[in-house]
Amino acid sequence: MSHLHIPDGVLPLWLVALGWVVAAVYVGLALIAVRKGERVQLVPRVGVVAALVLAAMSTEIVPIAYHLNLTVLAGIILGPAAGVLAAFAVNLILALFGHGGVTVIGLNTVVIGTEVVAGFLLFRGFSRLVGDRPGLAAGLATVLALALSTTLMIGIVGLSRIAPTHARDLGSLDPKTLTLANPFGHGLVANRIVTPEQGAPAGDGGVSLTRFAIAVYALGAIGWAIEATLTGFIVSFVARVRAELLRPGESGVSWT
Amino acid sequence: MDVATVDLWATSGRSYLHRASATAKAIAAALCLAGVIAVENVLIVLTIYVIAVAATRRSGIPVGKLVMGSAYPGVFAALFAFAQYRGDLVVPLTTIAKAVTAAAIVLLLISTTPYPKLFAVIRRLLPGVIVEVLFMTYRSIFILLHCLSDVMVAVRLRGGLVGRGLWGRARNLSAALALSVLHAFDTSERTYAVMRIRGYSGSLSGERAGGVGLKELPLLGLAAALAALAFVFRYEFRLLNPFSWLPLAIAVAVLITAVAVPVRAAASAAGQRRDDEIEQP
Repeated sequence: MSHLHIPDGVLPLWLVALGWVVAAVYVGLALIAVRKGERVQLVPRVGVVAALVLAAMSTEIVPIAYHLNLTVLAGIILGPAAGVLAAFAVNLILALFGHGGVTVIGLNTVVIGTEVVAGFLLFRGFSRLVGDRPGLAAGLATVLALALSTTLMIGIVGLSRIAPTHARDLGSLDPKTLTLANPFGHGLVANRIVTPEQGAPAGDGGVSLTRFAIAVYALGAIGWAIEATLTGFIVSFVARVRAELLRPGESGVSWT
Repeated sequence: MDVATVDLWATSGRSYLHRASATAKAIAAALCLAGVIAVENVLIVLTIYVIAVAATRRSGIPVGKLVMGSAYPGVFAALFAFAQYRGDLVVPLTTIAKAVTAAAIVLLLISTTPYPKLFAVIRRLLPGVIVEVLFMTYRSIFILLHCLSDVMVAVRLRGGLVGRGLWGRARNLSAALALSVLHAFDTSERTYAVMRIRGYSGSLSGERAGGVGLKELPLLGLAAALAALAFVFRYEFRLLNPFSWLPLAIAVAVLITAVAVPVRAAASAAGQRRDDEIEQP
């Protein structure tokens, strides 16, 4: 659970729009980085890795919405440019299955795209540091990449200063008692059940960033450990069997 | 949600929604989503949700599965809701209701629209290479899930997930996943080779999304009405909030009618037959 599947209607529109703009820049740069002649060859490969990420994301480890991501693995195998394309495809399909908001595909692409790129770069860096232990390098890269993307996601929530909902907007539900106001209390055609007192904003209704960050880091850290362990084992296995897959630039497709 | 099951619902259904054009359904879904995002009245959000459930029922899609599927993002929304809690429950409940309702709308869309038609709509908005990637991703999911399932059965049969401690089990599980990764790559190379032989040069022939005709007008009308309802309640809440129970009551009546009137459950019957076939190889 490195990233949060931000639902629709929670974040302000300006932030959602900004997310789309940044995601468009990410995807645009990725398309430029992947040389035109290689795109044809790249499509099946990106599709398969994106499908792998989707399969991992749709398999819950424990029934509280913990699932693997394998996004760092995607970054290691595909490289940053193709990895960002895969991240966008994954987010779009996830949104179509209600697993994350449609309007926040842009923001989720920024978060997961960062995870992919950071995972790739960190893996390269750690591989030089730890030498011939790709599993360890992948594990370390996974923890740091997931921590980075989670922090980015908390930053997005912090930026949003979410306060879209006030008690006055919530209908005839009494927010204190959760009881419905009697719509006939003032006659069938009454149009003033919301009193001036009720009409005033009740509290800021916004998100406590500290509380949110504590919840996400606490839950996320367990997920990072699980993901890092499994990614480390997978990379270790792949390194023994098909080492060329871990060097995407040398396996026929550019990863620039 | 099980991707294969959703795909089966989308391709085997014969309801009005199944027959409507993908373009019209996408526009209708966008209108409903805009309404969900705009409105802050939890009862109006629930109104849209109940209408989506009623439409699900009329489309012959198992309501329970869609409700469960749409509840999943509610778990993530609960984190936001937890952070929003200030002593009253309505604000967090609204956040969760919005997430669940938005998910129900997109699930209804994808459950009634075969993915090539849906991607044909997306093709109008995104670069071609992205849509090609989407096609390949979607096709590959089925192959991968099948492969992963076979590998996991083999691992379990050999006792790979029993004993050996947590570390040993994680190692075995990872080996199974890694095998799937390698299989995925082999599949991609093979797929690429086959596509090249068949003349693929950068563009998969796409399905047409279809336009908007007279038969789609009721769908678009309903979606526009729901969006208008949401926007009116958003901006005229002082006047209208006292009556926000009314649209919900009407929606519940629509749902009861949708449940009471028999529906041809073509999709679910076909799904049951397929499940039986899978269980009895």
